[in-house]
Amino acid sequence: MTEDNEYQKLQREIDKVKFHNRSLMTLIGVLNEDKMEKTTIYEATVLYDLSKKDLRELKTLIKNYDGNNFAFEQKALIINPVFTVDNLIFIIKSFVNTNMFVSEVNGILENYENK
Amino acid sequence: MRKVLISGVCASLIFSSFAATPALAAKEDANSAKVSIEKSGSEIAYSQEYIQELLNESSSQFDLVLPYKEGIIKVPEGYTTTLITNPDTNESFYRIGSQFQTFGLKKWAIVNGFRYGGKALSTVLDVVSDSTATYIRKNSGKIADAIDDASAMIHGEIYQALLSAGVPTFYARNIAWAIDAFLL
Repeated sequence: MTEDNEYQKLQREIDKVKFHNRSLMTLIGVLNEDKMEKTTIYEATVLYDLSKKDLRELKTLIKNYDGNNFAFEQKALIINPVFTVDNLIFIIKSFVNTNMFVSEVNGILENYENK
Repeated sequence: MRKVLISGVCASLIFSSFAATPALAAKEDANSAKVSIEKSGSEIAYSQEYIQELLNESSSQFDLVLPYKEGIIKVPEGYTTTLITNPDTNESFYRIGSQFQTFGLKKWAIVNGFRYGGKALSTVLDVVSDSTATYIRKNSGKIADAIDDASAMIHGEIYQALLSAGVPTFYARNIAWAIDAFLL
């Protein structure tokens, strides 16, 4: 019973921290409306609650992209179930918006558009 | 022997009564201190009965939103309270919600609220800035469709669905925050 309460208390605190991060991101967006027209990877990380491990593995996946979209999507889902096709495209676009892996991501996006 | 025993018992009773007096006094002091703290401390901003009455009236699956007031909030059992400040307007609110959530039902209620007008729409309109509220009023159908398309009722998914539907980033960010803060 006590452990349950402790767990619930901890869970509420974690939720609060996550919510504060999202609120902070919204505040920055409100203050810098013009500069935050496009979603950056920093914002996407907060929005989708991504871990460092998720980002590192996604980076490796992007770097090793071989043109097989199905394999790319399946491997992404294994990294994190939140990486559904739409979210994956949204997140990799946010890499481009942050000027990261531009050539690799543009290659992936072009491949998606052509298919 | 009996006399010795009786006098011993009497002595111990007398001693214990004297010994108990300071403890009792201390206890009384503690009680009076507690009472004085409650009297001198913050007043009750929202009582348990008042909140329960509002929850019964609304009979909605959404959280109850109350404007910020100085004082103590007493929520009924099974409910939690969170103080939320809108970064857009800098206004603070109390969000009182059940500890148990049903996202499927909430999604349906939010989508219909935006599409046909209702509690979900009015809650969001109450907590966003005027410019965002104007945008929502003009595009409530588009927003409802976007929320309906969100694969999960979490902040990131709603935000992304709104962007995909063509909602400008500034409004999408604010609307997703308001839904996350006050409806989920």
